Amino acid sequence: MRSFLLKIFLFTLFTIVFYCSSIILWGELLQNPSYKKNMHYYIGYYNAMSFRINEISDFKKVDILFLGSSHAYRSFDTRIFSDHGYTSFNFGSSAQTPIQTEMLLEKYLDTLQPKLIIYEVYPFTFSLDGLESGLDLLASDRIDLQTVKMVITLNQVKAYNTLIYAYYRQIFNRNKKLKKVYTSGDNTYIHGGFVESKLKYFSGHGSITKDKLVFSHLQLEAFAKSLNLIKSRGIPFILVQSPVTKFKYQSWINTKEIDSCFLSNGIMYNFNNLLNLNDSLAFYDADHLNQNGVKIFCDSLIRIIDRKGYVNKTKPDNRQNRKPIIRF
Amino acid sequence: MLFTSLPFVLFFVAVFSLYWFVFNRNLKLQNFVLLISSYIFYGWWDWRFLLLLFFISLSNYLLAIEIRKKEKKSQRKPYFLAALIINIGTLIIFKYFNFFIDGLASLISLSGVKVSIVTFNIILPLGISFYIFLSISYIIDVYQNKLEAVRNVFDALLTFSFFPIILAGPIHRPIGLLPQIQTLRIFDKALAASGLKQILWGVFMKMVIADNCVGYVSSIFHDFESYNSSALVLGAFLFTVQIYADFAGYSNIAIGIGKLLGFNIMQNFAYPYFSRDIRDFWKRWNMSLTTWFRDYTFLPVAYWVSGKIKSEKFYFINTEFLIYITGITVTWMLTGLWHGANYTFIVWGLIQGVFLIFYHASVKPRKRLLKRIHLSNNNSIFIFVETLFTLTIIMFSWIFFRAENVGEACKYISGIFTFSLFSVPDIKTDPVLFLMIALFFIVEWFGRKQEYAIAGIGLKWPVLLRWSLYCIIIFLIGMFMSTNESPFIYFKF
Repeated sequence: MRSFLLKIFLFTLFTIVFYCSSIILWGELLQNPSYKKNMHYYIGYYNAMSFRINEISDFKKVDILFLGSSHAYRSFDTRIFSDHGYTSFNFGSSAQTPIQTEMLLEKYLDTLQPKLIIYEVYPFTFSLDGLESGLDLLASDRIDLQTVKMVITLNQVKAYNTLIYAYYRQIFNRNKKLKKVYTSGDNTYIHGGFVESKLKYFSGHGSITKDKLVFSHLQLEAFAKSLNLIKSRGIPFILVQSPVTKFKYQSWINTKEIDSCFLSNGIMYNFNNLLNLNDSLAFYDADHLNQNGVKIFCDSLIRIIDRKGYVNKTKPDNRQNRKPIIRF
Repeated sequence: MLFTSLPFVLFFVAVFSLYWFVFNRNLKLQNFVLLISSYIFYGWWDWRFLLLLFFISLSNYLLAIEIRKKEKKSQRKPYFLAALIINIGTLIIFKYFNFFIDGLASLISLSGVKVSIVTFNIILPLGISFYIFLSISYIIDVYQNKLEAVRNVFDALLTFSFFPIILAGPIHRPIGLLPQIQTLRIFDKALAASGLKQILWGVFMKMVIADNCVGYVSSIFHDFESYNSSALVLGAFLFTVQIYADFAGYSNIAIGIGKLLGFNIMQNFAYPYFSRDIRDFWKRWNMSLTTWFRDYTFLPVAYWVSGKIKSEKFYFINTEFLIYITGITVTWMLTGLWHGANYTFIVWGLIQGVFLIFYHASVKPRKRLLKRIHLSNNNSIFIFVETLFTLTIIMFSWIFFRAENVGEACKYISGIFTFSLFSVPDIKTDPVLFLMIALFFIVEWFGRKQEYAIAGIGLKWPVLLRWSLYCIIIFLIGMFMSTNESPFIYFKF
């Protein structure tokens, strides 16, 4: 028995080395994604999370930090907030779920030290497993213990494989020579985290499939931990549901239940109820605001912040002599 | 707690440690650990099922003791019949009640009488068909004096609930399992190493091959009317691969776990898709079930019929052939029904019966034909053609097994025979899946003389090279396994 266990132990060590080496070789040699079914490493995939992380040092002690999914980085235009005198940083990322938000806060909250946090709570992300956003962060962010913790929470083979490959790339500095592309298709990354889309209008009405959103207990746990972390630093926060089309919003049959869940955790503004936006004019798809909608939404949110006095402005109101937008 | 899930791995590590490190010197304690583990494992799915399992096990244990106490056959018979009624009755109630009631109502309504039927929402306990079959074989073997009734209640409870095989077999009969339960297991390094390898191959079969076929098979069978003929053939082919990789993979894992605990569980699959004819196929597919039906259904029926017909011919039919037809028809109808309360399974079973009867009838003419055309029975091309033919008819019969109802199965098959059979399938598939399937069958072909495909590969290689082979399999599992967890197909039987 002893020799059997010893062999098992040695074989396990051998397997770990073999497996990691194979993942690295596979990742380096094969480019076709179908040959890498359970590994997904792509820098700047969907959005420029790596740009945001690189810009963190420029946004220390901002007035407002935005967190959340694509509804955050496509809705909170930092330029509009700047025009109103608020410095801000948009830390949203595609399909960012509370599991990723928790990790980002643990890593960067003390560096950013915002005066107010606006946590965009798109209900759908609370029902996801968090893999999509997790893979995005594995490719965009630095791998450390917090990242490993997130991968263990996700507990999916794709996340483990990508973690191995991402860590190898980090150790050997393989991302150094990557070309930075700030404009991709219709999207332009704006310094500070916002992504502006070319002005388009939503036209895709069809039949609505009614569905009940069921929150994952892992996401709710991560959400609670994130809020506790924010509270422990003494930073005020508000929860915001940025608007989606009525077409989309009506497909969820348990919106009241969702709202009460969020309200039990803090102040929440649901802009699906607060604003009456036209689906065709204010959105470019069923989920996301176009630039016209962004303007209406941000102005409305800023009015609330001003009225409630959630945060003191760093800069004077600058709407009269707005500078041209600097695009990268 | 699927065999391929993390909770099972943790559970098994705990059981293995207790079993070999704490209770390794005492048979009673070893069995006690296994019994408790088996009840935890089974109760993990639904604790309510434990009551039924306990009831069946205890009834069979007590009735078997009563049977052995009686000297005369006439005294034993009531206990034997009581045990059969309990076992078969339980199976009928939990598995077939609604099916029979529906069937009866349809039959009555044919005569024009309107009937309102009452059906119940009965939950099918997992693995019921497997442990009931263990119980039936136990009680018959005891009744026929082939097996001594077990005296120790814990041994009896363990025999019917042994966790590696309770959910989906192999149906390792008590006559083979009890002697192992009643002997102190001593750790055998070679057996344990073989078990680990078998588990590895089983996991590959399940997670890489079977689970990756699930999505395509479900889409094609669910919406078969919108696909072209070649896509329907592809669907049938992928289901053929899926059901084998799923069930044989499960069996490999179960047998491997048994080996790690010091048990030799019977082989359940012997590369059936390389069979040359249908009889050969059924000797190699789900062997524990087919031998069970052979011993407890086919042979008794054949024996009974042969006792009834004394003449050599019965209405111009050779009596031996008639006995075979009767035995096969009854056996395969029941085999089909065993798989589930649905006409698809009965039709599927009868199709197998018809294939076997045709095969039986063709043996002599085939021999004569080969002799006349001077073709050797061992001609490689001839073997290949026969193997391909057998695989094709098996593939077609699986359509009945997979379809929702007989009508859909017929429509599916008729959908295959259109001009689009020769066009490109109108479903986008992953080329890697086909690469993996090809790799899988190549390994199976080279390992077909072994108990499981990778058993003999690399035994004489240097240790690092051999380990590398296992690591390649682990890597392929990690890189290509399906991330959508699918339960094993045979769990529902």
